[in-house]
Amino acid sequence: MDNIERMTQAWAQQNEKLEQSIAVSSEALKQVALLKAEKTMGNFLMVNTFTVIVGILMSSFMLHFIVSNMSNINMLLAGAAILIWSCLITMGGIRHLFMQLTLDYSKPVIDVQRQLNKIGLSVLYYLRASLLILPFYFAYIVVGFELFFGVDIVQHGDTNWLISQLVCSVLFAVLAIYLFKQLSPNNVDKPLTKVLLRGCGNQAWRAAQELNELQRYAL
Amino acid sequence: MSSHNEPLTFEAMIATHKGILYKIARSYSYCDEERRDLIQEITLQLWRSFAQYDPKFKLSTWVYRVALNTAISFLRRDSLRKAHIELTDMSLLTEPVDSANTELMLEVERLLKVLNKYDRALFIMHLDGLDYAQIADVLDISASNVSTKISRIKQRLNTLFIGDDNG
Repeated sequence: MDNIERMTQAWAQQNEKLEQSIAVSSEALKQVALLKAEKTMGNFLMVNTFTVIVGILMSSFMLHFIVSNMSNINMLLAGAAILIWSCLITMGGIRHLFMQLTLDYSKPVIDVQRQLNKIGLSVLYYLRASLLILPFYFAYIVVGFELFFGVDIVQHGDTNWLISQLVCSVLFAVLAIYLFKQLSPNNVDKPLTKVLLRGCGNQAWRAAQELNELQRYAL
Repeated sequence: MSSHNEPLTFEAMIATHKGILYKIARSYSYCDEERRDLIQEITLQLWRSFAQYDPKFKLSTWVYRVALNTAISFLRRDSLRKAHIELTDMSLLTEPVDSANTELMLEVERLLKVLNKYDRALFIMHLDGLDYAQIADVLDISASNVSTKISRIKQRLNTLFIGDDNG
């Protein structure tokens, strides 16, 4: 007899025996039904909730800053750069929270596992989003000087210093684009990405690996 | 088991599909403690999702989805596993009595564990007699993909059988 045939027959015989011999413990079932523990993925829920709260506070503050400095184009641009970035982080947090809260285990396996791995990669999303602010670091300097010293650093700054900031921004933009591309879950097998992802925690690295595996599997 | 006129109770659903729970838990766990824990976790997940069950879908397909999703996630969450062991001291399902084909079944389970977690899910359903369309529905891949994967898995398992026979 073919090996697979033997395997199938053994499995079918097991099925019959299971039907006869397994009994469900009603007492234990009641205990499980009483448990409303939502322990699973609690950490991600905490991280995403915290991010959304911080993001909303920061966005509100930046909006207030922009409205208060409408007449000054330097403040307006610097504030807008930070506002866009904080909105991006907040929206990412809300999206991840929504994914977590609407996770339905009765949906198809590939869908649910993909969603679970994306939630596992939320740290990576925040890291990638953080890179986007790198070329706009000067916006923080401008806003910081205005907030703490009431000084418009662009107006008071030396021209050479301002040019050097511009050069730095361009260099940071190149670096940010490179790292942003490298930090994609699709590059999980590349050495640099592996190091960067492991820096986000093994969970993120494993989630990236599994997401790739799932993509290949569903093809 | 509930009649057509009565609403399906959670207990009746578990009683009807206890075999699926047990087989999936066995195939995705590596010791008795893990198996008991996984059965509890699948039951808990079924209970959480039960209120949203839409009767227009086949109940067994729904149970496979929840059970497989829980089992695959269970494999991933090493650290969280321990927390769930404390849920209840009691076993939800009694162990089946020893059968004549235990040795062969152990071999079947060993071979299933050689497969990756998605192939394992697919082949369990194939062994359970689900057709390609049903398997495709549980996993969300095409029926032709299921067919290709099953023939690849069979080839692989046959090689493993041959390897074992030679070894």
